[in-house]
Amino acid sequence: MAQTIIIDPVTRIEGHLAVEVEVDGGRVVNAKSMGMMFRGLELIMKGRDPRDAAQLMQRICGV
Amino acid sequence: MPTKLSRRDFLRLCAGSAAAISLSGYLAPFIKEAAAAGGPPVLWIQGGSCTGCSISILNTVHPDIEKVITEVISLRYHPNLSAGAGKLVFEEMYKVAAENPKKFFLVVEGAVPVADDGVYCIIGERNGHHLTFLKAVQELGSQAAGILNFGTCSAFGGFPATPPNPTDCKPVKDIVKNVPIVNVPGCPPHPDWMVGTIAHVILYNELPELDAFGRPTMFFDKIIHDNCQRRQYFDNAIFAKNFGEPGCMLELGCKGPFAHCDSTTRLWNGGTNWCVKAGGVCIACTEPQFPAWPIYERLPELPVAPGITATVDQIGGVLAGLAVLGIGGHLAGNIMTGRIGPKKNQDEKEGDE
Repeated sequence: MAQTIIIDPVTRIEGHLAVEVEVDGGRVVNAKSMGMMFRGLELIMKGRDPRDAAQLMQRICGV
Repeated sequence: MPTKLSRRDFLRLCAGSAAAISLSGYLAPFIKEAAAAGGPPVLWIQGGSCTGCSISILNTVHPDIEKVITEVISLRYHPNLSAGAGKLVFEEMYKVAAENPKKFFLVVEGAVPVADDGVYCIIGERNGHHLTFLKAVQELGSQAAGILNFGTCSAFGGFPATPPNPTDCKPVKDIVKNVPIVNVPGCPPHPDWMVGTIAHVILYNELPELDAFGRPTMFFDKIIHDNCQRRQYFDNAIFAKNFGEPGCMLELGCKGPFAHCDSTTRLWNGGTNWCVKAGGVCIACTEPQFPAWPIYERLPELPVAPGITATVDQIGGVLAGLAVLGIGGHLAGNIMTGRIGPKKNQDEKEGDE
């Protein structure tokens, strides 16, 4: 019988990550890694002055 | 050990620039004493953010951040600093909230996406369900003694809430009502602004004095343009046409005349430099409208209040109103006297040359 281990939130990273691991008899049989945030920054950039991209896209990740 | 710091001295320390190599260094012994006497716990949650505000507070240089978070602030949960992960840290966070109703302070970093019931930001799993940031802010925020919004995103919406606002991001003040809120905007905020605000609530157990946008006046009552090192160029009508040139950078898109903060004197990276001194324009990252405006364009229209804009030409006419809103009267004065012409005329002039 497979056991599912969920780690959510994963700390000490930028953003929101969840990990789901299925373990069967001490062996990992399946694993999922999930990004849990969507901001749609590409949609915000659409139609803007291209020079703004340098200022705004650096704010994808502040780490 | 120090005795209690009077609020007057505290404000002088926060607003002062000469002695402020590191604000937290001066405040640390006082906060430590207050915290030892049972200071409120602090929970820090992150939503639609880039973690830049957390990284900025890690740039507190003296004492180092390790001392601040282990000895000074009773920081009980932080998504980037908590050693545990998953269920372990989440249960601790809710335990602290339940044990200290209306006593703990909640730090919120990041805007709150509300579209589709907040599914665009899930901060963890609780009781077998995904916990949305929206729900976490509602639940924890309503139990808190106060909410400290660190960063422009949680204070005003910021980058994720910029039109077309794909995930319908809202600032925290639209989500939680009837709880005192302090906005410490900035993209990111200066570590001193954050440590200073936390210090104030721990030392005096109440919020600092706030301006019309909920920002502590001890850090946000100054206008960049008034204290800018390039101010003399503006007064002499010398305007840079390209980056790297001497001159006021208003024509290159500097938003200094509308930006409230004390970066000009506080300086960043442990007192090294700040945006304009490094040759960049001020992007007014502490203002509610950031970054909806074109960053490298001189604004033909100035947002003077939510939903109200004025062209530069109109400003002379509404000088009194602008002074109330804290936009430098000298700017309007200079426009009135023709020192800075309307943008259209400037372009025409350039074309003629």
